[in-house]
Amino acid sequence: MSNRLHIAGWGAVSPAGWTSSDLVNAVLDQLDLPASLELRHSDAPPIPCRRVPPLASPPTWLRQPRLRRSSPITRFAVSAALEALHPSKQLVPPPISLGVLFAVQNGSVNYSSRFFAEVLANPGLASPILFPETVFNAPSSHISSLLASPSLNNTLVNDAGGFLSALDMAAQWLDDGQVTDCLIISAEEYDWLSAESLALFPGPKIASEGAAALWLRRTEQPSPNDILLEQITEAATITNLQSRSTAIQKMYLELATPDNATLISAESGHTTWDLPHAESFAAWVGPRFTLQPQFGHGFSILGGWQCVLACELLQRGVCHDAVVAADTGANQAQAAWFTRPSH
Amino acid sequence: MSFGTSAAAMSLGEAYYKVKTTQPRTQGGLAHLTHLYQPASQIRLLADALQVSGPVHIIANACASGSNAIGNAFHLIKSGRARRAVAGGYDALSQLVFAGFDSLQALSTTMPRPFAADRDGLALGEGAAVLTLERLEDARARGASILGEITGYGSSTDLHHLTQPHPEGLAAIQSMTAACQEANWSPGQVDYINAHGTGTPLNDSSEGAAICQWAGDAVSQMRVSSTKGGTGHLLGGAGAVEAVICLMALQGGWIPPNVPIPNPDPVCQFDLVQNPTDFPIRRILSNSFGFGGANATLALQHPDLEPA
Repeated sequence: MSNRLHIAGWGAVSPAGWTSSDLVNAVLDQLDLPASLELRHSDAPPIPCRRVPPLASPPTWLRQPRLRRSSPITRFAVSAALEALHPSKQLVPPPISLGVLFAVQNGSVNYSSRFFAEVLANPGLASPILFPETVFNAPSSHISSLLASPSLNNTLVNDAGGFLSALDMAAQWLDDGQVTDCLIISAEEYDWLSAESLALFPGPKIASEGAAALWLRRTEQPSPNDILLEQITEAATITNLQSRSTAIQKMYLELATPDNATLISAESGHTTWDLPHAESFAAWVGPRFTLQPQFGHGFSILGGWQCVLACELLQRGVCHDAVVAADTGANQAQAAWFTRPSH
Repeated sequence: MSFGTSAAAMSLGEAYYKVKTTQPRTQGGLAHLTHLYQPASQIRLLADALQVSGPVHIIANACASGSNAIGNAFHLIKSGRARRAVAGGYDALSQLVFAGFDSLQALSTTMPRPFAADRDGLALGEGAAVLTLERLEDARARGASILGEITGYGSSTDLHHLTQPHPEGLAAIQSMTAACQEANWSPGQVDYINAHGTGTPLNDSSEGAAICQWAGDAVSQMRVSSTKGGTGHLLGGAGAVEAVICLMALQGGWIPPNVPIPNPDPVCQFDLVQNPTDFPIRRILSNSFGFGGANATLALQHPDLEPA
């Protein structure tokens, strides 16, 4: 699998802005991304969050009829997907058999919240415009439609490790010849419902939002500048049979990366929660990056942002091998190794 | 483990919402509720009960989720990525989902009558079904009672509208064609199609048109029914439950009937089976279509047939 799958493009929307460059520059420049406090009710605690900055003007792709009623999650997802396919985000259907894999945790929770409020107030008047956008696969459906791609389209529900699960499934689809190309996308939107839930668990308390996308495709003969998906470990599921520590260690031991590879971790900044990761990677000698303390809890997007950072670092020549470790979720531990053959 | 769900434990999400909106400062008990709301937590409970710890895929492709999950598991095994898989689909009724379908005027005000000319909508149901999949040679080697063989899986995306299928069922044709190509079947070899057949005006006319177009000259001999008139529409569980119905039909040698309707839609150029019918059924297609244009078709055959 490894040396025949390459990353043909990537895109991101984050609290740093609407492009992958915004994300990576914020990391490299160690920008302080300010968190705001949102008060949804006078009796509720203020919610710290890092929102995606508003666009200066509506992009042309937002004029598409399918996006008229879409919520922020779809707009973030579309922006990242279009950037992955074309850096200028032109809406040109790609002449390829394009599969779509969408990883999500909270989904279109803005519309779900609004629709349920209407249901409780008067179910007979609940809006039929809102409800269809509440389903988990609405964003990925819009993307396939905008790209005029009738190929496979799966939405996977998971936590911060979901993006790598989707990447793994994309590799499977490409290996099996079901599609020639695949977009892997993750997106989340801020909403108090999910943001307040962070206070109930260990880890970062600052919710964030945005999207990430990779364009994965088969290549028979990689060029020196291609970024390749060299390895993706099997998802080590956390169960009663396999503790979180055991799962992370299993993931670590499966990695076959060179000693000086750059590690892009999902560490939360919460010492206790991060401990199994820290123990497994204690001997890691390569450079390390981590996104969560700077960007906040992106739910399912985190793994996608990590992958985008890996690809950008490889493209900019900052490193030759980059490992994304998605091991701070509660469901599984999984890692991906990206490389450039030129080195 | 490969599972499909559409709304999962939405009722727990609703409970969380109600607490948070009526008692905004409350935290007690909500962590447990939030944890159990996550589909991954639900599958973890199952994994712990079954004492398994392999990779988990949870597919949320609306009403096609269950079929997509089974098809995904089939491909994991066929490609050698897994030796065994537990696959299925589930959903439970909730206020939000019920009101959602009601708001779209998709619910029948009488009773669901798939493929009737005067059909007026679906009835929601709830439930789950789970299959154990493994390689045929492994099942034979351990002397398992083999209920059926999955020989093909097709999946496609309807680009027409978020909630309405293309009138000619283009994506449905694509998913049925893909499933049969993988199974190496021609339409004339298919004994029965378990249709998605929700009973809504738009689905049934689109799916009916797709079956006619796909079957071609074989359409008049094509036995078709929808079992949703009896079970209701189980959303993310529908494809899995209907796969089990198909396996039971393969085992028992009968065709699951549609609810009897005196006035089939003119699109039904196929043989709409309306009464319990004994038939030595060998090859079945099971269709599942969902919001967002998710389309899935499973090809299932009798275990006594030669492997595809």
